[in-house]
Amino acid sequence: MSFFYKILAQQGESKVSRPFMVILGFGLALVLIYPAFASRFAITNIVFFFLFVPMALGLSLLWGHCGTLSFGQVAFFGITGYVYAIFTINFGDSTGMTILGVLAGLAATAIVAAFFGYFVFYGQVSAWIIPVLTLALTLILELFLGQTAGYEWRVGRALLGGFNGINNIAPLKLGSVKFASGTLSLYYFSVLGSIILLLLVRKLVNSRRGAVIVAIREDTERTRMLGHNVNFIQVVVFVISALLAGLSGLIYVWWGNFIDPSSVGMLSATVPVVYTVVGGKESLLATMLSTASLAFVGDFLSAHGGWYAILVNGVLLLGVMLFCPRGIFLTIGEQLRRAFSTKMNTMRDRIILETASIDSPDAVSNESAASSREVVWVSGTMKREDRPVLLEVKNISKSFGGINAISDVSLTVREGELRCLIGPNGAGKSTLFNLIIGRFLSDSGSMVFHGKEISPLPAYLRVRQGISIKFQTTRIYSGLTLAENLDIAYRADGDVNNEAHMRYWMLSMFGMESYLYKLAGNLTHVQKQWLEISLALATRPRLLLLDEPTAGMTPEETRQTAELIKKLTEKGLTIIVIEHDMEFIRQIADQVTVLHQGRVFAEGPLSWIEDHKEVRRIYLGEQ
Amino acid sequence: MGSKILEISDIYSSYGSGDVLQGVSLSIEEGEIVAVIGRNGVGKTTLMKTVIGIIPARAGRIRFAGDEVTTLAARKRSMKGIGYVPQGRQIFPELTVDENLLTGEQVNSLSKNRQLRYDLIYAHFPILKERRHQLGGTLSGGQQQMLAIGRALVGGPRLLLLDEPSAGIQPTIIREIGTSLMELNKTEKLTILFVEQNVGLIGTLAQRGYAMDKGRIVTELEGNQVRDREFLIKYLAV
Amino acid sequence: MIINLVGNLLYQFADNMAFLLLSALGLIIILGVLNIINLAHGELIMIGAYVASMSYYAGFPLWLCFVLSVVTVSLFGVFLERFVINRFSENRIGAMVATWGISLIISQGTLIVLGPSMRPIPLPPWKFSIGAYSYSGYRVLLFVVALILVFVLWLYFYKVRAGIFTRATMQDEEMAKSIGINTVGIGTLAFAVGAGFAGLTGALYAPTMSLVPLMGTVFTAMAFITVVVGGGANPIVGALGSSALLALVATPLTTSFGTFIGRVGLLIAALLIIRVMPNGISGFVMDFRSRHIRTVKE
Repeated sequence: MSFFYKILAQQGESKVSRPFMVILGFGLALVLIYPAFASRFAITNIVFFFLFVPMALGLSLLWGHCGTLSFGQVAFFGITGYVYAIFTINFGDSTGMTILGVLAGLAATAIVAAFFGYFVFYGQVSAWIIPVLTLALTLILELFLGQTAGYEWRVGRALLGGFNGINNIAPLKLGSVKFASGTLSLYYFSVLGSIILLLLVRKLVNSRRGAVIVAIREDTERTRMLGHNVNFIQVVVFVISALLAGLSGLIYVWWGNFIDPSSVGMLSATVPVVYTVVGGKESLLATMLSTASLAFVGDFLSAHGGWYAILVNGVLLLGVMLFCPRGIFLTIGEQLRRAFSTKMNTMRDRIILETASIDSPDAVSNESAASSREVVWVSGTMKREDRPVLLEVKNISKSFGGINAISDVSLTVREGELRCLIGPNGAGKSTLFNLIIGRFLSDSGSMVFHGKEISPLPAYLRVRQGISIKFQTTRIYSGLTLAENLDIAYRADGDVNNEAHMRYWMLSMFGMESYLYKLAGNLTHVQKQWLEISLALATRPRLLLLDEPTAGMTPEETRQTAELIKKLTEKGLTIIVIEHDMEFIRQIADQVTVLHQGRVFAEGPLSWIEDHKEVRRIYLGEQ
Repeated sequence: MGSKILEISDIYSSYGSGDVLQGVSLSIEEGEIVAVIGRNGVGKTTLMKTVIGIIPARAGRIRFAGDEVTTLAARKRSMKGIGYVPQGRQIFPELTVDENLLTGEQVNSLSKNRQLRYDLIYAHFPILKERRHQLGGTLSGGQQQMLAIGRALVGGPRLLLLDEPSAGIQPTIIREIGTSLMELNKTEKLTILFVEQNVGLIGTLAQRGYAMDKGRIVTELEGNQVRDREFLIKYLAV
Repeated sequence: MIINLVGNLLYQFADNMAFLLLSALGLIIILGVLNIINLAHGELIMIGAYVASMSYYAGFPLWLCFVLSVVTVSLFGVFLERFVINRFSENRIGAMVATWGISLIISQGTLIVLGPSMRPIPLPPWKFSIGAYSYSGYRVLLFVVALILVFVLWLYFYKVRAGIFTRATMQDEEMAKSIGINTVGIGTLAFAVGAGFAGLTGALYAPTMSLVPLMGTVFTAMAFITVVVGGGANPIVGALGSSALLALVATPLTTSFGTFIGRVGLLIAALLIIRVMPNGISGFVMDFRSRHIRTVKE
C-alpha cells in the first residue's frame, strides 16, 4: 500500500489528496464499466480521444513544468509512427516484429530528440527562440514527407507515399492479443495506459527531481547557481516528452492503420498546444481531462461541419490566454481545492511533527546536524596566518564592450575568514562575485579554489566544488514551498537521509521551522533574504559569497543577520561579503578589501581601512 | 522666498521585495540647489526614481509645483516640467547627439508658452553643437554627461533631477558642468536636486543638503555644512 | 548559355528575397519595438489579399485596392494591439500562443463566412526577357517595391520624429518614458505599421496566388523564420540581411534540386545561423559594433 501512496501522493503528504483519489476512482470505474454498454464504434472513438493524451502530457511536462514551449511534439508523433510502419511492413506483423517495431520507432524518436535537444539547449539561445527552432524541425519534416510520393521514395518494401502516407499498417500484437481498432485491448491500452502514464509522470514531477525541473522553469540561472546541470536536465525532459509524443503516434497508427504528413503539419502542431493551454499546462490531470474532452469536441464538430472544430480551438486558445491563462480545468480545480483547504492544512501540520519525531530524533541538536554533513570546516579559533588558503584569485581581468570592469585583481582568502568587500559604486564588486561563481568567464588570470583551478569550469560545477552565492536581489522560488526550495539546493549531490536534518537546521537558524511547507512567495522581505542565505548554505559550500545581504532590512534585522553570519564563521565557514552598511561591517568584519574602478585599492583590517586617508578620498570622489 | 516646487511627504518605496525608502520627507523651494548625500545603498537613487515616477511610491505623497503627482506616470511628470538625468547618463547610444537632444523635447511639453532652449544648451555645452552627428555611444563620459543634461534641459523644465553627475568623469569636466549648472540656476531660475558623493561638487554647487542612511533622511545640512569636508566625511566615507 | 543561367539565378534570387523581405518586414518591426512575435501575421496578409480582391471587383483601380488593403489591415492592427497584444507586453511566449489563437479564428472564420476561395486578381501580364527565358515583370516589380518599402522604413526611423522616438524606445524604454516619450503610443503605432506592411504584402501577392483562407500559413512560417534569423535589434539590418542570406542559400538549391530541397536548405540554414548568432544577424552586428567602437577619449 505504501508503494501506491508513493505513486499517488504529493510531496510532503503521507496521505493522498482526497479529491484526487475521488476523481481517479470515479474515472477508473467509468473506464472499466463503459465497454459493457457501449458500441464498438463508441469504443473506437474513445480510443481516438485518449490517444493524444500521452503527447499532451509530454508537452505539459516540457512546457508547463520545465518551461520550454515546443511545437515539435507532432514531429516526434510522426517519426515514431512512420518508423514503426516502415519496420512492420518490412519485417512482418508478428508479435516479435511489432514489439521490435515499437522499440525501433521509439529509439528513432529518442535519437532525434536527443540530438535536437543538444543542439538547442547547449546553444545558449534565448528561451523564446526554442519554439521557433522546434517549428522549423516540424516544418522540415512535413516538407520532407510531403514530397516522398513515387516509387523511389521507399525504405525496403515500405513506400513513404508522399501526401498519401502509408496505409495498411499492422497494429501491435502480443501473442493472440491484437491491439487493433475496435478491440477492447486497444481500448484498455489507450485509456488505462493514459491514466497510468499520468500517474507515472505525476510521480516524476512530484519527486525531488521534479522540484528541480520546476525550478528550471521558475529561474533557470538560479538553478544553475545551486549546482544543477540544467542543460542536461532540459535535454532529458525533452527526450521524455518526445517519447510520450511517440507513444501517441503508435496508438494512432494502431487505431487508424495509416499515417500521413498531415499529422505532422502546422495545423496539427496547434493541437497539443491548445490541449495543454486550455486545460492548464501546469497540471497533468487538467491536461489529460482537457485533451480527452477537446478531442471529443473537435471530433463532434468535424462530423457536423468540419471547420468549426478549428475555429473553436482558436477561440478557446485566445479566450484562455486573455481571461484564464492558467487554464480552465486547472483554475476550476484550484477553486475546488480551496473549498477543501482547511482540511488540507491541518493534515500538513500533523505531518511535520510526525517527521520530526519518527525520522530524526536528533534533528533538534545542531551538533549532530553539522557532523552529518560531508564538509569539514576548519575551526575558527586557529590563527589567521596559519589557516590554509581556500581561494586564490590571480590577476583576473574582465571587460564588457570595451569597458574594463575588473582589471588585474588578485585576492587571497583563507579558510574560516570573514572578508568584507567594499568600494564606491561601479568599483566592480558584484562583477568580481560573478567571476568567482562563474556567471561570467574571466578574460585573463586564474582562480584556484581548494587547490583546484576553476576558471574554465561552468558555474554549476563550481557550486559542486563548494562555492555558493547569495545574490543582491532575492531569487528564491516563490511558487514552491520552503522545503522544496531547500531540497533543490541540497539535492545537487547530497545524501537523501540527511535531508530532514538539513532542512530543520537551516530553518531553525532563522526561527522559520514552522514555515517548512509554506509557499516561499508569502514570506516577508527579510525572511526571503534569510531563505536566500539558507539556499546558499544548503549546497554545503566551503566558501559563501554574500552580495549585500542586508539590503532593505531595518537596523534590528541587520543586527540579527550580522550575528548569524558571525556564528557561521565560528563554525569555520569562509565568507566574503559585499556591503555598504558600515554598522553591519563593523559588527562582523575581519579583513576588508577595498575595490575602486575595477582594481584592488587597499586591503587590511577594518580599523586600519577606516583611518586610511586615501580610502576616504575615493569615497568622497577625490581620486 | 519662492514657492515650494517639490514636496515629498513620508515616502515608502521599494525595489524588489523590501522597502528601500522608509519614510522620506523633504521640500524644496523654487530656485534652490539642494544636494542629497550618503553612501552607497542608502536609497539615493531610489529616491530620485521615485520622484520622477519610475518607481511608484508605496505610501506617502509627492507634490510638484503644488500639483499632486504621487500616482502620476513618469512620462506625465516629465511633461509637467521635471528633467531627469539618471545615474550613468543613459543617453541613447545608437542615436546621434542631435537625435538625443530631440528626444528631450517632450520634457515640460505640458507647460503653456514653453520654448525650446537649444540656444541655451549650445551656449553652455558648445561641444554638443560641434558633434551633432556623432553617435551618442561614441562620446566620452564627460560629453555624454553634458548630452544627458542638455537632453533634460532642452524643454526648459523648472526642476532638474541629477543622479551622481560626477561619476566616472574627469575633474575638469566636473567643474565645467558645475559652473554651467550654477549659471542656469541663476539665469533661468532652474531648481536643482542632485544626488552626489563627490565632495568638491557638493561644496561648489549645493546651497543646502540632506544626508541619507538606510532609507531615511538622517540630517539636514545647512549652507556652511555642505562645504565642510570634515563634516561630510561622516556621511560619505567609510 | 551563361546569360540564361545568370539571368535565371538573378531573377530567382530577387523573387525569393522579395518574398522573404515582404513577409518579414511587418513582423520584424513588431518584434523590434514590442518584443513579441505575432503569429497571426500570415492572417493579416491574407486579409490584405482579400480586401484587395474585393475592392478590385468593386471596380477600384489596382493601386487604390492596395491602399485600401493597407488602411484596413492597419486599423485592424490597432484594434488587435489595444485589446489583445498589450496584455502580453514582454511575454513573448504568451503573445505567441494568443496570436496563434487569433490566427486560427481569422483563417477559419474567413473560411466559414466567405467560403473556400476568393476571386483571383489577374496578374498584370508584363513580361521581359533575358537571353532565352522570359520573366514576369510584376514579380520583379515586387522586388523593387520591397526595397522601396525598406527605404520608406529607413526614412521613418531616421527622418521622422516619431521614428526617432521609436528608436529611442527600442534602446532604452525606461529612459524614454522618464523624459516624456509616449512609449505606449509608439508601441501601438509600431503594431499598426507592422500590420499595414502585412496588408500591403497580401495585396501585392494577391495577383500571383490563389486566394484561399489558409494562404497566410505559408507566409507566417517563412516570415517567422526570417525574422528570428534577422533579429529585432535593428529591423532594417535584420530584415535585409536575413532575407538576402536565406534567399542566397535557397536560390541555387531550388534551381538545381527543386523547391523542396530549396525550402529544406533554407530551414537548415536558418537553424545553423540561429545557433551561431542567437540574437539574429542584427543582434550580432549591433554587438560587434558596440564591442569595437570605443568611447573616444577627449
